[in-house]
Amino acid sequence: MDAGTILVVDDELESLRLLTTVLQSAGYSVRPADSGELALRSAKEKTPDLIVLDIRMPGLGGLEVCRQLKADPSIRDIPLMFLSASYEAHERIQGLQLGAVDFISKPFQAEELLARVHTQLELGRLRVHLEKLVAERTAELLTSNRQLERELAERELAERALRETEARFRTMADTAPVLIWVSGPDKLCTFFNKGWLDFSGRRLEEELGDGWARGVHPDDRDRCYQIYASSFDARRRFQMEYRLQRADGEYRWVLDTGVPRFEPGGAFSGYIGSCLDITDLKLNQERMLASQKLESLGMLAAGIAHDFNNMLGSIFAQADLAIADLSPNSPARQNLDHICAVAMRASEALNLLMAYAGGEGDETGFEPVDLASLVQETLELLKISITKKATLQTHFAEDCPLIVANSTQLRRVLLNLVTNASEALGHKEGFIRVSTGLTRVRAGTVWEGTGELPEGDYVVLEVSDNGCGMSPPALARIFDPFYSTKAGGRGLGLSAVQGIVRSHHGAIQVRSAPGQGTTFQIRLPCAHAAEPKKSAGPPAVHETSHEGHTILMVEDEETLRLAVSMALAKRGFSVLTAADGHAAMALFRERAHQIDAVLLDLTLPGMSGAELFHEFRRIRHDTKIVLTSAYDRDRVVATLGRAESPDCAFIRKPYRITALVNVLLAIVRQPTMERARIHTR
Amino acid sequence: MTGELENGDERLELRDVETAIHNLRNPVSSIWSAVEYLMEDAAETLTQEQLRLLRGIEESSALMLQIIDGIVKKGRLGSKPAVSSDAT
Repeated sequence: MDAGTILVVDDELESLRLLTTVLQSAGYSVRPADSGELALRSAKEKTPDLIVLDIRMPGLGGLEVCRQLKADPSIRDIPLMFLSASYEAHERIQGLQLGAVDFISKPFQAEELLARVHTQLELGRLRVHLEKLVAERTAELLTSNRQLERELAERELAERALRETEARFRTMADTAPVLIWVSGPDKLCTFFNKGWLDFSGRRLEEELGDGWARGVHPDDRDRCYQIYASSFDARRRFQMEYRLQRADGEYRWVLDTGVPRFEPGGAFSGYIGSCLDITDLKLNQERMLASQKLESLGMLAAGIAHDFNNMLGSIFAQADLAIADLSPNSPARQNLDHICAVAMRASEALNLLMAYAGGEGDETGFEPVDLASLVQETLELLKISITKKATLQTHFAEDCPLIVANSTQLRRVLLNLVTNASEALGHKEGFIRVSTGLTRVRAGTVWEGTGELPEGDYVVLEVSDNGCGMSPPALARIFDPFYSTKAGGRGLGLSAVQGIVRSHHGAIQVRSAPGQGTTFQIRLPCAHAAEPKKSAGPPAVHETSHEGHTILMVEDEETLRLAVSMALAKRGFSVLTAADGHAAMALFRERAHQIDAVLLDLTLPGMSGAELFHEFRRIRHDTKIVLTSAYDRDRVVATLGRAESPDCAFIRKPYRITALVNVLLAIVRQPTMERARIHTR
Repeated sequence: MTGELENGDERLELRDVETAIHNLRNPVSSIWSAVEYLMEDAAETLTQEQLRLLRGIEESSALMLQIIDGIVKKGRLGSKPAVSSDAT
């Protein structure tokens, strides 16, 4: 094993030899040098493990050699021991300051020299080893540091991307037109967007966790939480509707959709959900459904009324026929008169049925209407449905001008108001007062909830009762379609009333107090003064001789057709009958010149009564026609687009034979302007 | 609440229509009873033609009663619409 190479420098040859011998004997490889210059060259050429250097030498002294060695980076780390006979302390100190590691005095003990050399060599080796270790560790640290820097850069990029994503999400969430919430895996909410906070009017801190549930309507809260919790546990998407309180205190229906969130690794991290305010949508849907149901109801009621009218018509005709041959004192006459009277009552109930179901009138038809007459007619129908505890009081001002109105809609208004008044009385006795009148509205008159009414004359309809009345909060919301003062959720339908009044350019006002009854006052603008009052129909003609009058009766209801035709024949009319439009057309084409009047049912299978009407008039323009229908006059006018005229009359089903005869006689006795123009196909 | 009130409004209409139909029952029953009485107690004083006419009245009134009772008993007008579930 190589014990190490030592450069020994001494100008004294004897000393140099001794040193060489001692060191070689210990196994070291020795390179002797007798001058400082040689020592420097030797050290630079091949680096020794240790230099033993005499201080005092001619030429380049030991201290200078040491200085130059330490100045050269390639050899500066070689350990250097000074050797000197001098005992000058300052030399030793100077030597150590220049970088020497030890100092040996001459003469030296061989053992001491070897011990010190060994120690320095060992220290040198350890230093080299240590430096190697440090270098290796430093390299490792550098590698780790670079890795760490890369990771830090990557993390910074990821964090920046995350911050951008979060900012993007927050921007999207805050600008989205929905309420957004996020919950963690513990069901508690951790985020609400600006839309939610604006909607609820509460701070984020108040909504976090389960604070949001305080805004849910108490009636919906349990159901809502149950759906949320069960869906949450099953990690299932959910959708639910509930009422959420808005900042203004109003509960709004929201559609809440929640979906589970999972991290990239698949771990469940909670839910994200969005709420949409569907109150208006729901309102429209419910209105549409209600409208459809009422439409179906109307069709059903109209169907029933149509059939019943025909059956009552045949009962009238059959009873009239049976009576005709009875002696005035016959006991059966009284019963048959009773049957006719009761059938008349039944027909009034039928009219009410049609009015309730909205089967009458054209919804869009506005025409001059005498409000007092309309109210009187409607009240007659309503009498049977109001509480028996109520006394109906009426007052109709005379000579009120006409209004331009939709009769059907106004009947509904009256039905609503009177029905409400009746219900307000409940089981207590009281009155329902209905009146009409005339008032003048001055410019600048403002009605609460309506605004300024245009100056002019207005017809007033007032419905009042002395029933239970309403509290101020109830009164404030009375026209809200979703508000009811009644247990069981019965609506007043006053929003519809208000809508109808507004569509007539009128105004409605209500006064009420608990225990003091309620008064509704409606003002409707008068029609122009030139509007004529509605025709009262053809003048009544008393039944006399009817010889020679030929009537074409077009009626699909067989029982009615047979009974009426027989009754008319018994009164001297010559009656032709047709069960449908085609048969009627065939008969009319063949015998148009013989027919004095047509009794035409408007509701026929196949070819409609309206089509027949126009065909008859096309063939013979002055054909006299008596229209008949279960619907009222307004509906017939709307269907045909014409009012009554001298050559066209109307009689509503069911009718008494006497009334029919009067109408027929009145029309056939009207002078005909031009008889001869008959067109046939 | 909205649905309840809307249904409330609807019930109002349904109830009133049912009431109107029910109000028909009394006069129609009265007609039917009067005809029945005439045919049983006064048949001897009536001609065959008059009896035929009375049978027509009886048939019409019986049919109307049948329709009224069918509607009122089966509660056709009061049937409630199906309700959909909230949860999905």
